[in-house]
Amino acid sequence: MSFAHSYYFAFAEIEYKPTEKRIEATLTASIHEMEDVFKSKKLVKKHLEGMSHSKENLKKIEAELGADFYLVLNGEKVLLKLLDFECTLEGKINFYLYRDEIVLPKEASFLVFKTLMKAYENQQNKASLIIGDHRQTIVFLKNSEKQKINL
Amino acid sequence: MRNRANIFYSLIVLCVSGTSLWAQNKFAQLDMELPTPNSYRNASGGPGHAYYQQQADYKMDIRIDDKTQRLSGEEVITYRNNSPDRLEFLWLQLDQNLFKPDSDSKLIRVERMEDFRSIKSLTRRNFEYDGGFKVESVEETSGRAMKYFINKTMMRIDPVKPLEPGQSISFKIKWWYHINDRSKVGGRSGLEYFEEDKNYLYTIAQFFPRMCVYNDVEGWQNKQFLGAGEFALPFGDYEVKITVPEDHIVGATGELQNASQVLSSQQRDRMKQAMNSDQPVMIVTQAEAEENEKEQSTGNKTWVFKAKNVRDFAFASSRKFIWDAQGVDIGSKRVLAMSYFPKEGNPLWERYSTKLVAHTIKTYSKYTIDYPYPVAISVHTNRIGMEYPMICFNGGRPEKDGTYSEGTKYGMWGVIIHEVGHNFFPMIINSDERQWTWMDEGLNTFVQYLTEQEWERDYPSRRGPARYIVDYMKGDPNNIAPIMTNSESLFQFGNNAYGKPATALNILRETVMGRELFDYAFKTYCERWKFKHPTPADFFRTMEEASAVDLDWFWRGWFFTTDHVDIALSSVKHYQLNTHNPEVEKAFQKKQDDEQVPFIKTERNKKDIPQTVNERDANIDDFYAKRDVYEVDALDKKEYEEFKKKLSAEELELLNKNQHYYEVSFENIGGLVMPLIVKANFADGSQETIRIPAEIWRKRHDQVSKVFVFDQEVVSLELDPLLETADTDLSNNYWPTRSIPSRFELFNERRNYENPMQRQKRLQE
Ligand SMILES: [Zn+2]
Repeated sequence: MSFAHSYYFAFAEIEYKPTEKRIEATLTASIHEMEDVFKSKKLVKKHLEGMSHSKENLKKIEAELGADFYLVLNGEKVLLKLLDFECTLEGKINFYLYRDEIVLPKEASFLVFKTLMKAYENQQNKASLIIGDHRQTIVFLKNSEKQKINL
Repeated sequence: MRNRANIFYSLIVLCVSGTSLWAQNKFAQLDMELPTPNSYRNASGGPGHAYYQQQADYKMDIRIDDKTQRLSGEEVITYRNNSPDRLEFLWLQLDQNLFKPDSDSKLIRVERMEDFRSIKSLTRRNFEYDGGFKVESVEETSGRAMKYFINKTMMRIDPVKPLEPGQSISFKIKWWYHINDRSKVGGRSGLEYFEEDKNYLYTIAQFFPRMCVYNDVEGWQNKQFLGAGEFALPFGDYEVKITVPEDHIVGATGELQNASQVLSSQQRDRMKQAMNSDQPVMIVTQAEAEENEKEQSTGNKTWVFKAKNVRDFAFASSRKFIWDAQGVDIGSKRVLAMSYFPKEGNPLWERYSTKLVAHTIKTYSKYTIDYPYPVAISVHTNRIGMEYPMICFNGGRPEKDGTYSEGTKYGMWGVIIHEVGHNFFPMIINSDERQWTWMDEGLNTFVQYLTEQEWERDYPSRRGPARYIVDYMKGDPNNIAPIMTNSESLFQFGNNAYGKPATALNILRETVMGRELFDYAFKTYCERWKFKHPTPADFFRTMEEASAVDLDWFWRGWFFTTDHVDIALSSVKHYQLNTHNPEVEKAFQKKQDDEQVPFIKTERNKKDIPQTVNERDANIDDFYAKRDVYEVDALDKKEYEEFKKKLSAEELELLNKNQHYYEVSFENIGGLVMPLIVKANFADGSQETIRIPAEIWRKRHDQVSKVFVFDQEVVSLELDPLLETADTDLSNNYWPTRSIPSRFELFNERRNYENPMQRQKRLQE
């Protein structure tokens, strides 16, 4: 069998550049899984591949992604900005996100990553954090949607 | 920093520690994990001398009522007990009971109130639909009722007397059920309703009570159907009569027996043409299908199909069907590749489907076994892809305006190759899907990848290449399950049962075994187990036995653990041999000393102290101060001549070669042991790649070193340069260290370039 949407897995590569105080992230998911959710929210009619990259659309997608994928720094929710998105022929969609003027507090930096978890019972996500030479890979499950970033 | 090594002490210092238990485990044979070989399944991975399998033959009469969308049927099953065991009862599968309102698959679904925040999601949650089997009777062929008991998706039948070894039993079952609307309740099979022309398209499977597998491994495989783990079915011969509205076109497992009654003479002529054609020939054109859609006649027609040695039966029926076919040569046989699709599938389907079917069975035949059946069929449904013997249901639907995205095209190509490919795994090489999803999905996804690459150069395959599994495998292994996990306990089916095993096989083929050895062993497995029931151990053992490659470490790491690949190139030390030739060595020493970074005080003192005492007073410098340490004197030369006399001609040649020795250390961070593929780049632009088998890790699993000898000096070293091992962290794969751009950075770079369409526009201006 092969369901178009059988990944149930989203991945984020997040790089923090301390000198620039900038976060750059790439959120990757299956086009079909994302498309189903975007369709149910009326963000897209047909296919994500055909969706225009207009400022208006990017704003809407940014808000949608921001509901499930954000930082919590010193107890405050910090959203990322959507630069653009890209569909690959291998069936994946990449969302490119960033945020400037960010300082990650040592003991109080958290990441929430529950993208697609409401839509799919078996959804599990993973994030790979890069801060200089330091690397951390964190798993996000239905009962652990918020995880601490080790600095 | 370069070091000078004396030839008379050993260059290679491998860190050999005692036998740590951990290291022992990585390369230990899989004795504990695999079942002990026996007379049914032997130690080489083949069927043993006492191997047996049961046979289940079916004669069915099926009717679809298009008005009520009900399927009713009667079947006579003849079950032959080829086992050495006496069977007190028989087990059958009632998969359609998944659609009963009280099915376990619904009850065991974990829910939280926050999952139902909208009215729509609650409506879906509370949607009640009874699509379960209504079994009306179970009788002996004489008409006498038989005792039976239904336990959810399983039915037990109790024969009056136990079925002895070698005996057969025939019995008759009558049943009906509501055909599920796939757009409302999902399902691998069901119906699709087309609002515009008010017609149904039926893709029908799991529609009859089917015998469970009874074998030497599990006895009765009567694990309940919960939705994920698919089917385990015995082989048999089928004769099926399908009664549908007279304007329907039916495609099914097997060969049509009554073409003269159900097809027009024109359609029969076209079939003959198609058989001899290497390009698709239309049996029912789109114009004819559109005419057909309008009629909605009330009469019925019965189509008769026969299929030999299949493990299941499925069919599709609709008055909307366009139908095309072509012949394809497989070995000495000619097979008919066919497609059935509504106009909604065009223009994609007419252009590609049948050609893809033909290409798939041809390519799979090359890597596995010759496709043994007379027909291979692809039927168009919306979204899902699902496989049955000789026939499969595939998604890939263009927009209403006839356009389609590139993604839809590749999605359709991929799903057709995948589902047609399932004819080989598990329809013919009949593994137990309910127990091991990877045995059919993983192996099939692997050959799908090979088939896609032969369809289009650099085809963007979704699964197979090592680099696509990296995100899934890296990091915390606690929440992923090993491949060797029962189907129902798997998370992330897509990665675990499809992607990871397909990647593992790719790595075996390209990196560990090589194509020739792998292909031979893989084909051996397929030949040994075609029309039989293999288990994981049979696969593992055959691959080793046919290749003489010990793969236990590989199966252990990739299939029994959740370790990942992260090997780091942790340090590099450069050595050159001490030639003892004073001309060479003293010059070398001078160069090294000259290159030393001066202390800060030396620099400053040059300025602050214009003249030192010994620079002023010629009587201060003595012998030591005056001698030139880099000068080669007669004694040096004499000693060198004496040294040379002690060496053999070979030793002397080696000494004068001026080779470069690199002691490279590797660290295993991820846990999976893998071959080391090291590429050296030299100053003149040339390169050399060295491949070291994974067994280098056998004594110590966390750290190893290796000395490489080159004629030239190395500029840089790369570990896994072609990304073939699924290494999850590339930032530690280079010497000197290289920073790996993030995906965001790569995108940003790409984004600043002109895109192909912008370029085209400029070209036209
Ligand atoms: Zn499949």
